Amino acid sequence: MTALVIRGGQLIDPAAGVDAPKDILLKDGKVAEIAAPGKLKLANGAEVLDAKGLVLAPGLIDMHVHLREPGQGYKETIASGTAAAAAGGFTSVAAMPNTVPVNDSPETTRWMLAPERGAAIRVFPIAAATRGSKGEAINDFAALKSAGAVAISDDGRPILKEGVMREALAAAARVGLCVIQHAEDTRLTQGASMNLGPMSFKLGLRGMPAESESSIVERDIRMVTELREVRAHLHVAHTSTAAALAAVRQARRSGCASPARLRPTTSC
Amino acid sequence: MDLSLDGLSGVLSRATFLENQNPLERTRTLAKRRVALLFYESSTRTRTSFELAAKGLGADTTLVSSLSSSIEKGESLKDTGLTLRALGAEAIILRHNSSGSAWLLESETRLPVLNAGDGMHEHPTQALLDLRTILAHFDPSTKTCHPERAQRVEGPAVPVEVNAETLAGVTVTIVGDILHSRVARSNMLLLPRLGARVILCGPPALLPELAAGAGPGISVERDFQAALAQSQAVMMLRIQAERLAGLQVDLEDYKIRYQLTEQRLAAHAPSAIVLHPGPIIRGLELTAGVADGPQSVILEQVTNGVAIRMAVVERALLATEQGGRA
Repeated sequence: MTALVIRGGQLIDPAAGVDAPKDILLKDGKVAEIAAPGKLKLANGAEVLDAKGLVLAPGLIDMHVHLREPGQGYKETIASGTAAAAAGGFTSVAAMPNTVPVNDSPETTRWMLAPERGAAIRVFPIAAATRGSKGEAINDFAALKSAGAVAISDDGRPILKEGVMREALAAAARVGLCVIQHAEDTRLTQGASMNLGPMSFKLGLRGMPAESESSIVERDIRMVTELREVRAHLHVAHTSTAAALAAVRQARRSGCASPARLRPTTSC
Repeated sequence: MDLSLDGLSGVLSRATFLENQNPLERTRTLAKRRVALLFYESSTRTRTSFELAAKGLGADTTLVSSLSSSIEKGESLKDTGLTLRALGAEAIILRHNSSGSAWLLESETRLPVLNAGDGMHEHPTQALLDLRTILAHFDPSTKTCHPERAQRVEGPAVPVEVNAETLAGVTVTIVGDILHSRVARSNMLLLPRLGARVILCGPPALLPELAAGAGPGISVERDFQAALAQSQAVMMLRIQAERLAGLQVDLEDYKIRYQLTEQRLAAHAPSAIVLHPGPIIRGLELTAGVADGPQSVILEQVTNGVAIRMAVVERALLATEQGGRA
């Protein structure tokens, strides 16, 4: 049995509602006791790590990363990406499917999860909604889920066709998965690199009109509402405009969509 | 390059000094220093005047353009800049089709980079030479511009000391494809700092309403005649076909509303000066009669480009000597 005491840190555990100085005892890699500073009862003989001035927190989860494997190992591999995540305190990451090929098959999903990939932490693949993320033919979500996929998304190629999106939401709901939609009507954002406004004008950059985001968000929320019977689950990624936020907030009040992931469009 | 008003006066003052200096003496200023011109877009005026300016100061210049260089083989902007630095370039004059490229090249090479136009963003030396042109025609006693160069009893032919009030009461209208114009952006940000009012004029497709929010002293006026009637200087712009990106512009309708004709000029702005950064398309944004007419100062702008660029090239290389940035 190995025992480790982490002493003097500030424990931040949002799920438990804790933000206070705490000492922690780990036994065999698991939390055995949490107590006020100096009050651990079972710590006898344990190795001590001084965490003064540091934050102690449960392993962080990044539910939107791009590991670039398969196909773009020159940018990032599952091993290098997860090593970087581990260094930053993450113990789980959900990997988006914009790989080459797109992760639209159980084979690719399993390949990502294979021990040979050398992941340093847990990887949760997010599978593509449509074949090749082309926005046309829906994938087999049941097979993808049993291979290990935790959610469905066409990532940076948002599902623009209303019929396809409706079908994806319904099919994902049947197998208990949520659809993550990148909030952008890409038909309105060709060549654009930031939100449209006086600043994009001043910088000489093509801007994305706010409607390019809000129109997709509002449409998808309307569909989720219509699909309430099958408990469709939508997750809105990359919201960055007041209009889209307002739509999400309104939908959450009415209880039909998950909290939006709040992340500016320019970050990835 | 964010020049203070003092820095601006310094550039204008050096431009006048260098322009009037004995050419042989002038070549000692930067004798055998190395300046690279890196041009990803075609250019006549800017490239030639930068080159003549650097050579006029005695520097060795070399031109790398996107055609006929390794850029064609896929070499990146960063690697091209590092290569030029390794060849001994002490400053790079860059024209590039991406907004922000001059900033990027400077941060990657740590060399002074003179922005000769980056995408739709800025063209700072054009605004400086436009300012010098406007000042040469500006009469401070009446706060107006005249097509004849202002007669000055004493001091240099072009004022070189400027402050936040220098152009108070002056209105400059910039007309046409504002959306895609780096010249418009640089001018609309520079001229109000000297007290001028800038009116932007053009159709909504080429001039979004939010342009007025780019800085202080800027307003949007869709009616060309109304804008002309308020203006001491009118700056016409070319429709930039290469940046329209699928935008449909009805050129016949554009000409009806926004072409500067001799009749329009005579009726609404008979004493204003007419500027154009070039290249001009005769018969589109302005008529040949206006381009060649008595109110046109278009070729003076070109001439002023050499003096202004001598001053900024000198400034950039002196900044390197002092370990600072341009």
